[in-house]
Amino acid sequence: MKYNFLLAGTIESIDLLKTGRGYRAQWRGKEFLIGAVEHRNGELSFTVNGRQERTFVAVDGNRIWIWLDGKTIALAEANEAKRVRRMSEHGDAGERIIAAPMPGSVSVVKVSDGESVGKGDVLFVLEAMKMEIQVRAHRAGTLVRLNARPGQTVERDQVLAEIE
Amino acid sequence: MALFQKILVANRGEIAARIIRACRELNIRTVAVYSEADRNAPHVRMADEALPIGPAPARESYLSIERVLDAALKSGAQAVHPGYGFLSENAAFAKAVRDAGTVFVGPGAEAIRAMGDKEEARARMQARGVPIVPGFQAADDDSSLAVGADTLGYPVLVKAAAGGGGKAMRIVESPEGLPDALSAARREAQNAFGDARLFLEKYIQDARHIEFQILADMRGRTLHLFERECSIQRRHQKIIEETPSPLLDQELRAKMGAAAVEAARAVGYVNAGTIEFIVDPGTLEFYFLEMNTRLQVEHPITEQTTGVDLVQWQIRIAAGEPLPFEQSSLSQRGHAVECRVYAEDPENQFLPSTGTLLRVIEPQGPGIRVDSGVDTGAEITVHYDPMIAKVIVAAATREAAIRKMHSALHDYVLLGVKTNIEFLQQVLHHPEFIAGQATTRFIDQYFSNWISPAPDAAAIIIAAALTESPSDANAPAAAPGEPDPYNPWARGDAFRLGANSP
Repeated sequence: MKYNFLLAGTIESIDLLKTGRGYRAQWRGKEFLIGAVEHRNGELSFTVNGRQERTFVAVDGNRIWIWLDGKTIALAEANEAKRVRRMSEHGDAGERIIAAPMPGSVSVVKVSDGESVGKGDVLFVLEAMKMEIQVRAHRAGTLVRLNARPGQTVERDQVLAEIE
Repeated sequence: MALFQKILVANRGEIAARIIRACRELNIRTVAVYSEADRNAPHVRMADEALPIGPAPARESYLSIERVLDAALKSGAQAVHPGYGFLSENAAFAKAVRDAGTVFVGPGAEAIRAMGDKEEARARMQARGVPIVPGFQAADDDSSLAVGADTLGYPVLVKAAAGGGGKAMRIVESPEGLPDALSAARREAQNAFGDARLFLEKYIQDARHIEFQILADMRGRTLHLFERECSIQRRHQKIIEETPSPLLDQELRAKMGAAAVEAARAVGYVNAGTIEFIVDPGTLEFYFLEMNTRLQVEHPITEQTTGVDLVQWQIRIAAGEPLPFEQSSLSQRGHAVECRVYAEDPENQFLPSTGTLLRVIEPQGPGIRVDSGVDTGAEITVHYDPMIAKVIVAAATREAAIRKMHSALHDYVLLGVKTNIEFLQQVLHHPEFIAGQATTRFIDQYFSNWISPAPDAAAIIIAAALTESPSDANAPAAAPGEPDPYNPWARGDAFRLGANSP
């Protein structure tokens, strides 16, 4: 069975085939033999080509969190991977979307729908954990589809407005 | 003999848990207060009683003098412990608690006020012969400040008179940058403290931030419990602290300790507090920076090396108990290091990371202590400080303590939000940190564009795929491919226990 994950900005595909003794996996043209899979209470251990790996895993709907050897990684699943990739392309001059760079609450909305904005203009001020972040226009244009109100709580990558 | 019957803990998270534990050991009943966001927080469950004090935003709950005081009176608590942050350095709160007939676990309101005004604190120190960072505070208008800056010599630090914590602070390298820095700092100071007064300090580029712990009882016995080195900071926020400081020798330690005691006496200080100094590592000159009139986040490292439970002593002092030890009977043993674990994403400019903690496994073992306010299922929200836990280690030597911290951080499992754990590991590996020479510029110098080293992608992706794969693959394994010959569930016949098969 094929799986796709977004890891560190790249889509990774892995094919997992069940065998009598475990699995055979194919990833980036390499083959891996996986055995001794035990998954109990969030602790997932297995061997990869004979090497023992011990991990802790948890899923929160659209992300898989994995602890392995002191490092913690979050991967996004395939369909989620596409959405996340689109969101992370905001900085490009061609993109229209203004999105929240972090979770927080909107403390100031400095623009109104239909207003002309210049590149670098401060559009919103977000507040979170005692920090204030200014969200600026990455290009000049007309601000449309304003989707933020003072006091509103937003998530990271949530769309706040678009610039045409 | 109970010191108090009941104490209300006016805080949340790890420090609330810490205070509740100290109270329990002293046989004192505890009252927790909680905002709506903290309904299921560990500190609420730990306390004997819990009272709701408002919606999630701190301004409407933990920072509301009215609501906290109301809870104290309603619960019948004899004392209120303010923890750190929130209302702990609010002189009006201390006064209001006392006016209501309740004991405030901390210093007098006047001492809080005097040290809370950074200009007044400096003036008092100067009058007392405690060295202060060279500065200018004779006038507050822009042109006088410009003249003052020229006299001091650039670079200068623009600071708010009404408060600290890195807010409304600006480093100015040259005269051209001063006007903008002043107006920005005034705006921030007005927003953060409601007071736009500014003053200047000489900016000491490569400084060591070394603070001294003070304990003073109501009879006037004022002692120091040695220093904490807190130079590892990012944007004026401490991330790693240690004691003893690798920089101090016995002579400098004694001199600074005496100055710290003098500083506390200058305001008639009672209870626990901390005097912060800046030390110039080149000249070994030290200067008073400010006093924090409350318990510090990093207090555990002092506890680990001195054996003194600071929170319990705060409560005892507030109950009128005299300190039974003298300066000469206090000593430090071994070395302790603390790392602050923040819910932030070092690869996204350290911006806050929120979410549910899907799994928490705290490291443990000899010499490992974790002070945390979270457990599995806890919600990390935007409303509060991003610090979720402190990992503290103690060992015989500094090298052993650093090794132990590596091991502890390695074993800390926190799934569900991004944290700075890996970043901390890299900092601890840095040669300048290992040499004990890091200054307050250390993080900016070596970690400004930090990217986490690539993980073992194959193992991660395989783990992710195994997690996603259908549940029959995740059943507890007999050795795969070898059926258990005694397993009755695998039999295809009509076997039944205790009955004849048909």
